[in-house]
Amino acid sequence: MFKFLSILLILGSLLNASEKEYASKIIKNLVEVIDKPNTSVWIDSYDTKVFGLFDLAKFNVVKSCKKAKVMILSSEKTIPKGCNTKPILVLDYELLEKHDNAVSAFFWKKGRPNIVFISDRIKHFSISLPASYDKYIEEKIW
Amino acid sequence: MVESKNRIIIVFVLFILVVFLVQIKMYIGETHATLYKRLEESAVKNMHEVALNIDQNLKNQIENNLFDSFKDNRDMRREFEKDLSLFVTSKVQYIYLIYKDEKNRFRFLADGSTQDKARFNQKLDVNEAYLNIYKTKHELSLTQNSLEKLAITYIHPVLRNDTVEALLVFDFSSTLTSDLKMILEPIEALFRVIYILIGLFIFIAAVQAFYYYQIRKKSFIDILTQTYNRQYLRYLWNKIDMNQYHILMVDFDHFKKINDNYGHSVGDNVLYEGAQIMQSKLRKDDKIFRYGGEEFLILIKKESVSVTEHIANRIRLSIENYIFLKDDIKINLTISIGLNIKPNESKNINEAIKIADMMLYRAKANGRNCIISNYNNTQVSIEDKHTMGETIDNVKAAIEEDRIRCYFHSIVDFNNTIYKYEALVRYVKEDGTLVYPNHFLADIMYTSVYTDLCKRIIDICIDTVQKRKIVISINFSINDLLDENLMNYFISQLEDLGDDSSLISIEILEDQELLNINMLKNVIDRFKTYGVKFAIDDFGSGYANFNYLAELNIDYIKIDGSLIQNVLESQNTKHIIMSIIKLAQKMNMKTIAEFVSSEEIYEEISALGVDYMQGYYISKPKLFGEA
Repeated sequence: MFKFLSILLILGSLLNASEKEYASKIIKNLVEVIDKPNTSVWIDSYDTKVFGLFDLAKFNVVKSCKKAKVMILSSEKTIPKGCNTKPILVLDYELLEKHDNAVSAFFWKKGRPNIVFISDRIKHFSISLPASYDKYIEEKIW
Repeated sequence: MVESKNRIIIVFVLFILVVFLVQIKMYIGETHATLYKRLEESAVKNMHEVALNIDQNLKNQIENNLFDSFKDNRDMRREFEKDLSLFVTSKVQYIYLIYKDEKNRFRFLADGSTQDKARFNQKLDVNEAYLNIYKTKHELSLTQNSLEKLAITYIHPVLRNDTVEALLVFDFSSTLTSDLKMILEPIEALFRVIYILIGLFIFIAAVQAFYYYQIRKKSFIDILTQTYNRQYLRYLWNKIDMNQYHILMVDFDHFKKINDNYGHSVGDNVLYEGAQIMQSKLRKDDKIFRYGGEEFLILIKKESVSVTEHIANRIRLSIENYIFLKDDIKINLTISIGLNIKPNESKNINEAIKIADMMLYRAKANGRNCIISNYNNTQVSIEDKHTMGETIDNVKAAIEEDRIRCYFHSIVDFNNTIYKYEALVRYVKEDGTLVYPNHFLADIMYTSVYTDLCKRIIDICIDTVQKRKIVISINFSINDLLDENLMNYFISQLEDLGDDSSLISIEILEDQELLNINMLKNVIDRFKTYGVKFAIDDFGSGYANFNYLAELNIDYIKIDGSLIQNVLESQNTKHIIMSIIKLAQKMNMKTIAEFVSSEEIYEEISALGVDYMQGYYISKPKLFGEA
């Protein structure tokens, strides 16, 4: 009986995790194209929004943003001193406007996953995107 | 055969139930799919009409390019978004207008959604199906299986001059399907109960079938020998096709002695091992049954007579060559086998078994450790068996009703003086006629009636000796002498006789092979202590050999009657008789000539120097009182 319940719980968590898994893969890919595979990332918040959105365990998370190559922002919080020169991946389209270093955004729009790269910002950070990412590049923030 | 038929039926029923279960499962699945599809169609149909109205309204209000109009006129866009928002419900989560830019990316023109509102011209990542609408110009509904929050997306193309200018999109929330799930829940619950009940029924049926076969299998197995028992044979009685089998009736020779000498636990062990040995020599389709006591019935799947005989002999040899061990005791055993290779000629299996039993009886009478079949004996019929049964009953009744008689045949010396009498048994039928031993003795052999008859004869002879003080000779076979129970009874009667026990004489019938001469020697020596004398009957025929004379403490040699009858015709016979007489004289034994049926034979035998004579020429057997 215990085994049966355990299997049910695991299956249930797997079903719930499908969207989270999907988002984790996309964010991981975005971080990789911004810098490199398994690069160090700093995350501004560890609240339920972030935890619910993607799986942190898949990332090389560092405690200090100074040690990070890429920063992930989920809110409008001020960026700590000494870190405002690093490329940022935001988790909300609106945040692209708030942070000048926000090169990319990943967010859900109308229940669909959406990706945006800002053209001049990726040039600024000398980020070269694969051709398959061209459709996500925007000239401006609308 | 019958078992496999039942198994097939049970498996078939279970299969039908499983198929039924799968059908129900499939039906539930199909019902779901159909209901979802109809719900989707209904929702889409409603939105189609809404979309047509919005489309018409849009065309009425905006004549120019939609992008330019909405870009330049924010109020117009907001007014349109306000109109769209009127159709947003708990089911229709998002309504928006998008267009395709020059890079084939979709962007928002207007968003009537109250939640997650998009900006003007903000990009929306969608799949390839949206692009196809620009080619087909037809509306499209998509089931959003990969998106958790959405159930269906309905896309209506906004055409201007037969060109798709924008797409009006309606996203139905996943609550649409959850509502359906709620509606279906009672039906699904009902199906689940049916599903569980059928599953439970199959499980219970399978468990019951399992236990039924376990219990039935146990009830058909003999606990001691682990072979099938008679109950299983009875179960097969009317179901078995006798054309498919030959029948073997197997019996352990002298098994009673194992129990008597070593105890029943050894006997049981021997039976178990013996059964296992026989089982190991059978093929998969053959069946062995413990028929009763130490008797086994084997059904041999018919291939040919030679194959069956080969199997029967293989069984016989394997028992003969096996040494049964119990502690330090080594026991050699043999089996006798009766084989009925024509069971199909019998009315039923019962009669077929009786014929195999009769063949077994003949194998026993033939000296044991052999196989007798009805292969060449086409005359064997169940009638013989019936006659035998009647004989046993008649003798049994005769013993119980004191109708057993001993006739006494005198044996005289050369002076014609009666030396002793030979006891000859007969029984009187209910109608008063006399039945001679050649008509019943063979039939009752190996039955308890035979032992009872022997005891009765002993009683009569002992009684006669007590009353008349005469020497009486009683015939016993080697088996009789080795029958410990019978001999113990005889000894007890001799003890009652006291000194007169020396008036008893025993004639050993040589119609059976003596396998253990030491045992017989011990028996003779035991009787000798009571003064009993021994004669070898029918010497010169049968199994008689000179070794007996050397090994056994014999007093008389009774020359075989066939030699005596031939003495006048055959010079060789005469020489044989002379040599027997000489041998007897040398070994200090007396000779008796039987079958002296004429004066000529009497004279000839007297001249040869025989000690005693017996025959119809001298006298006929008579009851005392008649003589």
